[in-house]
Amino acid sequence: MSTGLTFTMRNQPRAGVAGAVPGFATVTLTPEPWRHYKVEVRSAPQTFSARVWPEGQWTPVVRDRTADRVVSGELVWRPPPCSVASAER
Amino acid sequence: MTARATSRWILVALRAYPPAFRAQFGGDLARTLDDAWRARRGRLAARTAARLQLLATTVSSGLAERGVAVSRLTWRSHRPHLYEPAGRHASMWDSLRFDLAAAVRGLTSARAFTVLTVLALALGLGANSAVFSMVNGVLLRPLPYQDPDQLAMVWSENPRLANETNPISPANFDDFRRMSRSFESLDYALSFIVRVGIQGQEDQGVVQVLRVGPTLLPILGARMQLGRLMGPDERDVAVVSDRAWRTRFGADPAIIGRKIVLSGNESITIVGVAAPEFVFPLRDMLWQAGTTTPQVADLWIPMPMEGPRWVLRDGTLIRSTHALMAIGRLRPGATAAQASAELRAHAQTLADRYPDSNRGWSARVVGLHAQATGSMRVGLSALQGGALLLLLMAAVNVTNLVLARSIARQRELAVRSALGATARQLVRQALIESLLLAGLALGLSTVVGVWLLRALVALAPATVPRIADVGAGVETWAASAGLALAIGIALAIVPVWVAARTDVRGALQDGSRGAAGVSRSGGRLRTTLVVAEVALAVVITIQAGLLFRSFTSVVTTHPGFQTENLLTFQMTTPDRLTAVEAKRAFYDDWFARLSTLPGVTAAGGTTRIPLGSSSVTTSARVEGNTNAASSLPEVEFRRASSDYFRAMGMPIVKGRAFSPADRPTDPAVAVINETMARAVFPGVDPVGRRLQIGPDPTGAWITVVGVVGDIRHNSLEVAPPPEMYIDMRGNPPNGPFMAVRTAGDPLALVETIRGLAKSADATLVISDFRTMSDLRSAALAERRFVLTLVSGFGVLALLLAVVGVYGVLALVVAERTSEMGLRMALGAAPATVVRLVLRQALTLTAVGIGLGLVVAAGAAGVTRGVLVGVTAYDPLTYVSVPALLLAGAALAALVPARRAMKADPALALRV
Repeated sequence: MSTGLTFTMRNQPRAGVAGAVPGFATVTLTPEPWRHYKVEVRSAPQTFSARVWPEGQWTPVVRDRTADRVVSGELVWRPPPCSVASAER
Repeated sequence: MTARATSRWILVALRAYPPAFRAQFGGDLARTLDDAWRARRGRLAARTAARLQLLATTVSSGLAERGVAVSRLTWRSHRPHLYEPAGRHASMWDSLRFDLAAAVRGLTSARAFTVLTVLALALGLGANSAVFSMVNGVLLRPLPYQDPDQLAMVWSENPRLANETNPISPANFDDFRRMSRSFESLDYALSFIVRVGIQGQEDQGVVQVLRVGPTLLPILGARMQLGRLMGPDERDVAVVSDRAWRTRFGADPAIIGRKIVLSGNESITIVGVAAPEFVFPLRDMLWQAGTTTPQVADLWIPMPMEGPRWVLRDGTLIRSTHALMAIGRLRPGATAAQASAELRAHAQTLADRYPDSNRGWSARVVGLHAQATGSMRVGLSALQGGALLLLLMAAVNVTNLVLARSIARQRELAVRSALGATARQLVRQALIESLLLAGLALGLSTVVGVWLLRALVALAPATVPRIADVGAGVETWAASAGLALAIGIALAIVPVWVAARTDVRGALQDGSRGAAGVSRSGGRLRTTLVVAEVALAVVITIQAGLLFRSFTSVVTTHPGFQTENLLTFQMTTPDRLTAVEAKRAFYDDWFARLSTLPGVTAAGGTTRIPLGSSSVTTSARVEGNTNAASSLPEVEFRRASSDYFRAMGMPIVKGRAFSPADRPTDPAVAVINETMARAVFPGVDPVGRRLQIGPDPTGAWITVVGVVGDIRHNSLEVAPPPEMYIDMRGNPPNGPFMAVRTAGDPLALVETIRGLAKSADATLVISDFRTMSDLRSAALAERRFVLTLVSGFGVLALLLAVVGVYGVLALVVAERTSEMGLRMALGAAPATVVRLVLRQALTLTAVGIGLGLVVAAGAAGVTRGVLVGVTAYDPLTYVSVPALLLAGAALAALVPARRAMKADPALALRV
């Protein structure tokens, strides 16, 4: 049974760096019993350094820690959700 | 994708970043770079160049990051880096902020749930805060005196008399003051307030005067805003209240030293104006406080115990006239109970020493606070109990909602858990969400509470002590916040409980299957909660029902006189009338003119008006009775004019009323009520018998000429005591009450009577015009007030219980749609399905009712004290309340039952 997980990022811009809208990214996940997962963020090193996460320049992925593999599905950028099961970073 | 190791080169390049940065982002960055490293395909040279560029970018970014870190350290910037450890507190704050944001989003998305929950809790909390404000203001707040906990009242107690708090006699007071070791100081006041006019202010009506011992106000710690307290040996001075200073003397700052003349040509000098907060006495400190007249003193005048009123011919103080209230300050460490025990022992000594006057009399010490608030204690405590039960019901309903929501969110919790959320995080999230709900409810309840409190104060009768000062204070808000916090924590237990019972495996595979286990135990919890809710509703509603039955019993009690078309007022005779003959002539003329006014059918006067004034008693010795004075029956005593009984509509049962033919020079005559006839003249015709009043065995004989019907004088709730009337022409009073029977609207005659008074004498003071219907209504005001509120609670409790039953059944029907569809597919009639749902509803309700009846019966003692004319186990109430609840539950069940009946079997089977 598939579940949608929606994420957003919190900007903490370094001095001199302009902010940006991080947007909401939804990935699908079909969780399986007795497995543990973790959420990772993929982005360019400069984004990590700037600590500003413009929409489209970061990607959430869910890793199955038991099997050590990425298990999340297609990413969709969407408007702010009403109901989220988010793991805000 | 398969498991793989991150490239060694990447790991080396990442070393360029500061360790703190790596600690926070290293994992994610390594994965990102590793993906890019492995994505380089193509020829070796191109691939190598791309990878070298990737490494170079990584290293330069890392070094740049180090540079920023160094510059920050150097310049000691106050702005922390994201990856700089911000400290444990900042991290905790961040987590809290995130949880709070998630809770806000969650509650915003579930609007119906949030609105219902917040409204239910806000109503419960608001009702509690309003009632608590009133309880705090009336019962708990310290009295406006210095060290009020040390103040206590001394009463005379006589088991033969129904009232445990009788005034004390001057001689006994003097002995108690000398003998007592429990009291640091003790002084007295008259046990009733007198109403007098002020010369030159006749058109403003009367002022209320309390005559006090010279040190009583200092004992109370009365504070003056102008002038000073009266001195211990001063005569003919007065302290004026803040209210009277403003209303009667225009807040004159130069009032100190001003002379005023009261009715009876009593000239006094004002020496002080009391501070606004000083109010004395409060109503219940006076004897026989069951009166509807506001009992607020405007003037305190010193009253030394001297003169013929208090001192006998032999120079000793009088011991048989019980007319004083005694108030004292206990020694540090002494309690009212200890003082009571001590004075009882002294009372026994006095009874042995003076058997004629003191046999049978004991003493009783009551804390001043308990005395002042006693009459409202039971009613307000019942209200507070009702409000708390209502809040409990609201909390139970909300718990059911939270439970349903938690079961629906099991899968979400399971996913969170699988993504690494710890149990502690889940508990914290639940706690924050429920505390947020409770906080919102607390905020709204502040508004609801203020609004309800305004309504309560407006509804409350003026006789409730200190009602004007009731307001929401810090204590109220603190109590509400404490309740909200407790509810918030309790509500957080529900989702945690659900999470602990969730089958994570099932929840992740299939939401409904995972919910099955929790649904079963959640269903049991829901059922238990609804049973508890119904039980609480039964308790509240039975109490409301009992109060209602009691109220109707009091309302339908006939007071013994005709209340319709009856106008009452008080008058103070002109000061020029000092001789008895002059007063008698004045009254003869006054009644002759009053009774012939157009629209007046009868007019009479008395010294005590029923339901509107206090009482006074005397001992009565029937001719031939040689018993000691202390064993003589006490009877209530009034003076009345000849037409008073006709004006009041009181039936003459035997003999006759007073007649103009009864000359004042003849032996005095009396009319007694039926209760006195039975009690004092058992088995004989009292008409023609003679009796004496007072302790003096040489006093004049009074002949009983008639028996009048019993009336409820002090209260509609108390059985009539023995009463006797003597003709007021014998000793005309200075401030009698008038009773005027009218043909039409009594109030239409007010101006005519004012005109008559003016024409009779310009210095005649008349005041306090009230219809007897208003007096009767005012006598019921406290009971009506408590009844209105408890009935409101009862109705709300019923509604909450019905909504609770509906909620559970709606969920049960929703969960059992497939089963019901299957039943109907297999041939079950729709009526069978309806019966199934109804049976479940009625079973739940019946169990709750049974439990509630047991609790209500156990709690009967709480309200027994305020019930009149109905027992605490009134069968009608105990039958009708469960019937009402069963009917409500059946109605509540009909909606889900119809839904179940209309379930499409084919559709249901597909779900």
